[in-house]
Amino acid sequence: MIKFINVDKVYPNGFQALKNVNLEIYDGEFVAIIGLSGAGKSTLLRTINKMHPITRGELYVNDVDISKVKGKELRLLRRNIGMIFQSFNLVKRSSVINNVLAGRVAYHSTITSLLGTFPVEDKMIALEALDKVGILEKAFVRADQLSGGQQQRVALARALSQKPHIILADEPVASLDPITTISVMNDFKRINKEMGITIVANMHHVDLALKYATRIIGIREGKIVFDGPADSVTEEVLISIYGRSIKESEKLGHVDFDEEELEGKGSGK
Amino acid sequence: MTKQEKLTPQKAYKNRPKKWIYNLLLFVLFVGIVIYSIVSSGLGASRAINWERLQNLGKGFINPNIEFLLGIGEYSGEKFVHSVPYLTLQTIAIAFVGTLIAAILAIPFGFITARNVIGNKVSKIGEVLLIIIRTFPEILLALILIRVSGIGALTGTIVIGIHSVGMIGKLYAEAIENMESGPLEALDAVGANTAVKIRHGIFPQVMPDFLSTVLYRFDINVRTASVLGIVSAGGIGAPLIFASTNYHWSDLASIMYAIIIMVTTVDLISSYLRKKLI
Amino acid sequence: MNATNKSTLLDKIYPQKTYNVNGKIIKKPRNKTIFIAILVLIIFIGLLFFIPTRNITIKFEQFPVIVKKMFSPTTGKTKSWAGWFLYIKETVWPLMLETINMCFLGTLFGATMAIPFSILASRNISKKGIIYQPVRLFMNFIRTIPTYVLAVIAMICFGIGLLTGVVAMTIFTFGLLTKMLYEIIETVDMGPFESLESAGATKIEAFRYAVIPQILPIFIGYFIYAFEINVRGSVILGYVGAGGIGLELDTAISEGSHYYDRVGAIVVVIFLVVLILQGFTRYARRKLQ
Repeated sequence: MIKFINVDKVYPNGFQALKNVNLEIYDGEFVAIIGLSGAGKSTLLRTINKMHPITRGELYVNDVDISKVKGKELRLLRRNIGMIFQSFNLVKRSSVINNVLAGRVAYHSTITSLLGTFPVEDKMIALEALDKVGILEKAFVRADQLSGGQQQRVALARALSQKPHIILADEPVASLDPITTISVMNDFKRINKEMGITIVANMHHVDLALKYATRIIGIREGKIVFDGPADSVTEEVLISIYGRSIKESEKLGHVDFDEEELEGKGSGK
Repeated sequence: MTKQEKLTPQKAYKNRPKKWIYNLLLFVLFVGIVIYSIVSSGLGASRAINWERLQNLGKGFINPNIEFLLGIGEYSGEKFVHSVPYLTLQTIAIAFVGTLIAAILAIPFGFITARNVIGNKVSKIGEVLLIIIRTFPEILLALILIRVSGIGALTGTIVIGIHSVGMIGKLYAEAIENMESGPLEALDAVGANTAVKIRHGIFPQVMPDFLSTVLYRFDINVRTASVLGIVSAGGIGAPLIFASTNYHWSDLASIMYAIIIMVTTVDLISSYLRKKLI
Repeated sequence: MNATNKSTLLDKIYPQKTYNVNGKIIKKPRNKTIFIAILVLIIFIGLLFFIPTRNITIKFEQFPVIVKKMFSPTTGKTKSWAGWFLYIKETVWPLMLETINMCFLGTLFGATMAIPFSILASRNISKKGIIYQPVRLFMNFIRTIPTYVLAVIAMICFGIGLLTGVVAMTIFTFGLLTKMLYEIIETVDMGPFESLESAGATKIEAFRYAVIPQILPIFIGYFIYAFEINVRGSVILGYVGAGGIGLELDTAISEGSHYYDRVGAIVVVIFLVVLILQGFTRYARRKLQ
């Protein structure tokens, strides 16, 4: 469970990115955050695992005020939170499995991580995570040999290998083509439903957000202007979040594909 | 009114920027420097090519000293250490050992000179240090170190080691500065501490560049190592000078054959391996 | 069904790891790095035998002694600081200029010769293989010969003196620059060249107006680079007998420790010159971009 209480975030240059945020996210939800670029989506997401520390208020993640935690305790907390980035953030020249194993480092001592001597159980966890996202056969291939969609899946496997309670996703599909976007979003949906992992995702494409998330949070200029179920989002609501109607570039649009066929592809079965 | 619209092509041509004057001056200056150099170097009064000696050298190439070249006969047993194969391998040894040691020693230097690791101010110190080590001519270093560690291969190795730290360190720093910060961000999010971030984020990214640098440096160092022999720091340079000053043509030819083969081989291996790294 | 079970020797000493994940089998490729590391270690140890250390004692104390002697003119040949600077002014500096001169001319001549050859060797200008391939072969051959070997050969022909150095550097620069040049020429945008040719210009005219302006800054950059390398190598060339500062250094050192102050003077001058040159080339490079 994630709980924001009166949270502010002011950057050192004086810019206030978050204004008095109050929010509760419950376990197992699939939350999408939407809003203009610069409205505060990224900041909001990154305060949850303290990549950006908050400047006022309290932020509880699983009953621990993360704003007060640092050092080893912080790392143990982060271990429980997986993060997916728009640019994948993989080590391009390393193999896929080495990238995924990086998710396990916080479970071992520094020496083990430094030597790279992960126990067999960890390697199995990594391989199973890869299987879960359907790219097991690529386990020993160099990461930059994979397509964009496959690389994002590796990143997803890395997050899964952490055995997290929560996964944060910062515009996870913005760099992908439409068809791959759908399959990756299907993966997220599956992980959320089957494994009960809470998903909090920044979405650039509004229609995608409405289709996959159960709950929508709209941010405008650092304030939460909407917080409710996806099916209660009307055109008026969107205008209040974006200050105008949605542009074509903010919609994924119609994608020509067989949805079920893609769902099959997504899980690799 | 009629005076205003007068910007005709003729006028534009008249007022064009006179860049050609600047270029002409530069050119004249350059020619002047060249003429001055030639005159003051006294090259004008040059001698003719000493054809006789060149012919003798040619004869030496056709008829090299086989025993010397292969380390057999007169050059086996005790004198083997003066034979071409031994000395060639010694040259390679000097380069190899020196480069390897420098490769390891240069790692901390590379890190303290990389601006994204240390910050702009402190990295300047590293930069200056590396520049000093790099610019000090190797031959001078060798000449000085001979008084410390004696003549022979050991001095050569030390010289190569020190000089290469400067060269390799700079290239390491560049590789580190070219690194992506994305994977480090991901490691942060996963809960890794600094040491782990270096091992899993920085290392895998810079390793191929590091190795490529070391291979490149080894290639160059093989040539340098042979040069150091000329000042008696070991390797094939010494017999080269000895043979040339004493006009031992067939010996000289043997040495040159060996040098060319050695340099070409190392060159080929080095470029092949570097291509595989990318 | 044919079950080929080739169990090689490699499989016996280093079996490949197999993982069973949810019923699927995946094999982990063998770790090549270990092999390479062991190979390097073996080569390293093997080569160590070629570096004799038995009769050598490292006299660390010598180091400060030498440095001191290099910078105490009173005990040396120059007899005083004034004498030291005088030595620099009258002997070292002119020799240094001579050496730089030698490098400049060598680089210049080498670069000049390199231009036509590199044009011939580039695939996009001389389109026929019979032209560019033998030229490239010839250049590769020249490039394999190290500078000092060229210097030795030149010395045999021309005897001791600056001419030897200039010749050696010319040939070396020629080999170095032709390759760099033809690589650049090949990556040049041929559009302007072709359009000029189709407008009626000859190959030479088209080259001068379409290709040269693109290449000129890069060429100047390479010229400076070659010049820098040549200055570094000029010391050793002088040692071999090409004259210039190297020769003076050789004389001073072989005279013995009494002359170390002279050596110190030479060392300082050489080092400063190389340093300044480095700074100049970086500046020039930046301005060219």
